[in-house]
Amino acid sequence: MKPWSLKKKLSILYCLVLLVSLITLSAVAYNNMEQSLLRNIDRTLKATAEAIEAALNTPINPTIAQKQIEALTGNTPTNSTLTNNTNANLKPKSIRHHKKKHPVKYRIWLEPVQQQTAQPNIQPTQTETKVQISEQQKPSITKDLSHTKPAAITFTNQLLATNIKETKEYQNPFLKIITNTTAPPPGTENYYNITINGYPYRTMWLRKPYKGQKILNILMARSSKYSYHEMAEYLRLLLIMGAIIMLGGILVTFLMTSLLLKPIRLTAKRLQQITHQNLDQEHLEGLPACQEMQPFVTAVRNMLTRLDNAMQQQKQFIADASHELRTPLTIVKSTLQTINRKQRSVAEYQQAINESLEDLARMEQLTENLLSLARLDENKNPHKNQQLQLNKLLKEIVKLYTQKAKSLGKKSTIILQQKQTEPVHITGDETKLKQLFGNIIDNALKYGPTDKPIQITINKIINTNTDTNINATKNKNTTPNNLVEICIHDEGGQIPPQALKHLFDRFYREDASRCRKTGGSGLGLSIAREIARVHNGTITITSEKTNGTNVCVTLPANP
Amino acid sequence: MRVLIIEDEQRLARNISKVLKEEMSFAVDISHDGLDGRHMAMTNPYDLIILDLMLPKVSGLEILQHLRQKNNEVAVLVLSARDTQKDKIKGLRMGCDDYMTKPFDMDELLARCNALIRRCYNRVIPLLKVGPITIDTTSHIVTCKGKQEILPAMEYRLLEYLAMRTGQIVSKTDIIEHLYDFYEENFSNVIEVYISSLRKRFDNNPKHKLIHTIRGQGYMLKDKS
Repeated sequence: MKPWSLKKKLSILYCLVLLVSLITLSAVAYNNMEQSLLRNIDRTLKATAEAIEAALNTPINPTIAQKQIEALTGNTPTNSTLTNNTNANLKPKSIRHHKKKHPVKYRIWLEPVQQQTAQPNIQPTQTETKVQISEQQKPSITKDLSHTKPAAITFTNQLLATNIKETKEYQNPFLKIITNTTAPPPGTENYYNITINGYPYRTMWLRKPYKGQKILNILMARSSKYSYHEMAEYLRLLLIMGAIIMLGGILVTFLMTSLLLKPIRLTAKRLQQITHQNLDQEHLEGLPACQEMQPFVTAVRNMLTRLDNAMQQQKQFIADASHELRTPLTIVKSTLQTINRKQRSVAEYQQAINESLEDLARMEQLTENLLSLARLDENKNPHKNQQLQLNKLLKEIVKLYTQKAKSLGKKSTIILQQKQTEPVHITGDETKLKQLFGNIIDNALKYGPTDKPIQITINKIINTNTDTNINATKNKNTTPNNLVEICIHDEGGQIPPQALKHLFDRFYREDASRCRKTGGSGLGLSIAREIARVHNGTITITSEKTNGTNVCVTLPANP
Repeated sequence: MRVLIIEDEQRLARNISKVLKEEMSFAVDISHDGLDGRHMAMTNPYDLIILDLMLPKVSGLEILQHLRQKNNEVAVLVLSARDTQKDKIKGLRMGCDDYMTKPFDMDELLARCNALIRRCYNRVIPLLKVGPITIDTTSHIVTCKGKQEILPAMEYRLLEYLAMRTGQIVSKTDIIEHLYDFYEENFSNVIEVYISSLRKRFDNNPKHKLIHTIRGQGYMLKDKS
């Protein structure tokens, strides 16, 4: 699967977050806008209703009151449009002639006081005709209405004034409000949203005690078309704004991503140019990496340095190996060429042959060593896992090297000391372990003083139970319970500390010339360490001026 | 001609020295470490130094640098196991005259030594001609008036050296320094013995003298013309 582009991922994430927040904000803003717009209408309606109530409370001519009501509600009477005027109470023209397209529609009536808390479906009390307006006006609208649609006016107790087509009462939203909902308690008002002729209206039903005995009901509706229109505009604005913000966000995300990834891109370009030949050069110099990128750049640089070191080591190893192999080859060749230049005596020939054989043996030894190192590097366990008695093994080695020392004309003796009488058993490859100890003793013979003894001590370390448990829990198998420590000590002088670090390096010799006099190729200790490693053991060297050199090999011992 | 071999592999140094002595009739000194080698190179007037680079104590390149800093103009042939182009260029830039890598061919080494010494005495061919005598420095055959002769080593060394410096007065000290190695016992009157021997061989015409004795200064090999 192809990995997702970071740009895409970030953009989608950003868009989602933005979308959610924008939708929430827009919804809240839209709602608030609607609330405030409707509240404005409500305020106007209430103010109008209060004005009407005040007008009705003042004992004036009903016609004037009617006119006042008309004026207050915005139904300017060009001609007489009094709703309670004769039987022409419902004049649709009066509505249409208004300057305002949507004047306030209203309906005002009275109901007896005993029904102040009750639902509007109480029994009609048509007998009550005490309201000012109907008192003075001869015909009561209620009567007219009761004639035409008696069912519709069962709740209308005494209609004072109306400015609404009430031909189809049941379809009339006003009447629906009255029939469908509970009336507000006297002295309070309720607000509703209704639709009249397909237009939205905000409606208020106000109930107030009127002259003690009655309750004045004022039902008023004002068009909220413009509010909704405004809100639609607002919504469109919100949508456009949201879209712009989203697009801008995506653009910014794209730019940001490429800006952020630029150092990585540049680093990659630099890294692309690195080969094994130019590894040692500085590749990340002057990279315009920001502070946050520095750890990455440093890590890459360190890695390159490590790689370079490894490469150098490898190169050095090959150079050393080729030098070591070439030197005896050169000598053999020169010997043979020299002897072959003219007729020589038999003794001379014999000498040349012997010398050549010696040099060949040296080469053979070196190739052997290189091979065993290569095999040990393969990290395989010793081929043979024999049960070995360490004491016996060491005795054999000591015997062998004592003879060797004698043949080399050295006076040093090798002393084997055992702290425990019981023999120590180990598991391993006999030839390899012999090589391990042989190499160390050989070094001691070579570099130690010729007249002082080399001491070998065997020390069995038995871990206590608690330690064993801790070790077992910490790392299983790697830390064996029992260890045996073999120390080879010589009275040689101090190894320089800077050389001590490199003693296990392949081909390392203290003298840079790799002089032959001391013999060896500088692989002995490397091999020793590798052998110790494949036997799960360790090898350490300490060297002090007064104490001489101490090489300690630690191997896991059989219980 | 006197050659110094600075080489820590004793057997190799011995082999080279043996061949140089046997076939080139050179006086050869051997040094097995850098410190000693440097001292010898600075104190004796060698005609050629065969120098190994990886030496104990003082490296070959350090010796070379030291020699050139002290304006020692001796010909230096580097004989090293370091065989990369980089090493060769470095050595040549530091002032060695030739660079050979190990393992090497003995014949090639001899030819190069010969060529280097020849150049030191401003010769372009390995034949030295003085009057009737022609000396082939590669085969060491001396031809005089159509007669080929193979001289004893010391006599050849002396004749070759005088012939290389034809027309110059060669002091006895010079001769001793260039004909004997460090360990050979030498007495100045031995030179006179060799000179008289050479005279007997080639210079028996008193009217046409080749080897001149300049009193108090030394000898000179010079054709009359």
